[in-house]
Amino acid sequence: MTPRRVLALALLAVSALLLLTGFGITHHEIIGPLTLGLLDKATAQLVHTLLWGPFVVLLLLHCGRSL
Amino acid sequence: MDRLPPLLIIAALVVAGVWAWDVHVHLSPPPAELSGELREANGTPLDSVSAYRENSIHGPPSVDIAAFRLAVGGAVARPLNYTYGQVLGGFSHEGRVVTLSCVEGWDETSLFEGVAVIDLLEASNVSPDATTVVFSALDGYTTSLPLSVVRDRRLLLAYRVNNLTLPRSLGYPFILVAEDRWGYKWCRWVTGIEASTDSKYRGYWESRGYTNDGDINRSFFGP
Repeated sequence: MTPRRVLALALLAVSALLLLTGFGITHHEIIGPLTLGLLDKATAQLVHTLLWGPFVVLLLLHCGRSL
Repeated sequence: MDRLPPLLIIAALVVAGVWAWDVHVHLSPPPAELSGELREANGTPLDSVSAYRENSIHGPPSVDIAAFRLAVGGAVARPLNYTYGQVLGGFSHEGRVVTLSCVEGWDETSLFEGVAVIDLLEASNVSPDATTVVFSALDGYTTSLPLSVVRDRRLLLAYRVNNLTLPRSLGYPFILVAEDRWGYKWCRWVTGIEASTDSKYRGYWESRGYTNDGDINRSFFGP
């Protein structure tokens, strides 16, 4: 697997997690049971708050590789 | 492009550094409790006042308590303005352990002491036509609750928390303790309490998409 592909897949995973944790905050009554209680509102909030760093770094690297 | 531009690498390193600091701040234990703060009430553990997040719309305002007036008006027979001392000295005090649940995902439980909002309204002879109570804050923030909820739940206008004078970050001099409502109903730095006949009134966050009843048991998005 090429570094470019690894970057793209990592960015995809972080983006999906960002989306999921966002919904975990705004729709915790759905996401909580869906994840078997793994992603409760407080956990979703913490993870969502901390994900911006990896997201921005991966986005920068992804754009740099792709341009 | 096979090689990353140096500027981009620098930008990524800067972002990573800021992020590492952010992680450190978020995962650090909350500051030690304040001197004289209660951390337990009747067997219920209380969260420290320092654990609350500050999420005002323009930063916590400073209040000149000597010039401060709490206005009670709107659909009342007798609009009144109270000094801080008049509120504390003129009404019966109540204390309650209540949990604030923020839409951001955090919850904090504290002992709030204050006066019942309905007592303030009834001192002004609230109109029988009034259905809603609109709360306004020093920083321009507004929110509302049905008068029936304010009356039946005897919602508090708190001036003390965990046996401490309400700190500035938490709404000094007064915070509305909106039990079982999302945090955006907990108006801080309250300067106005207005009885209204407009049951469709929408406050700051409500007019931006949050529910008007703010019921903690329902999603905060909606009409």
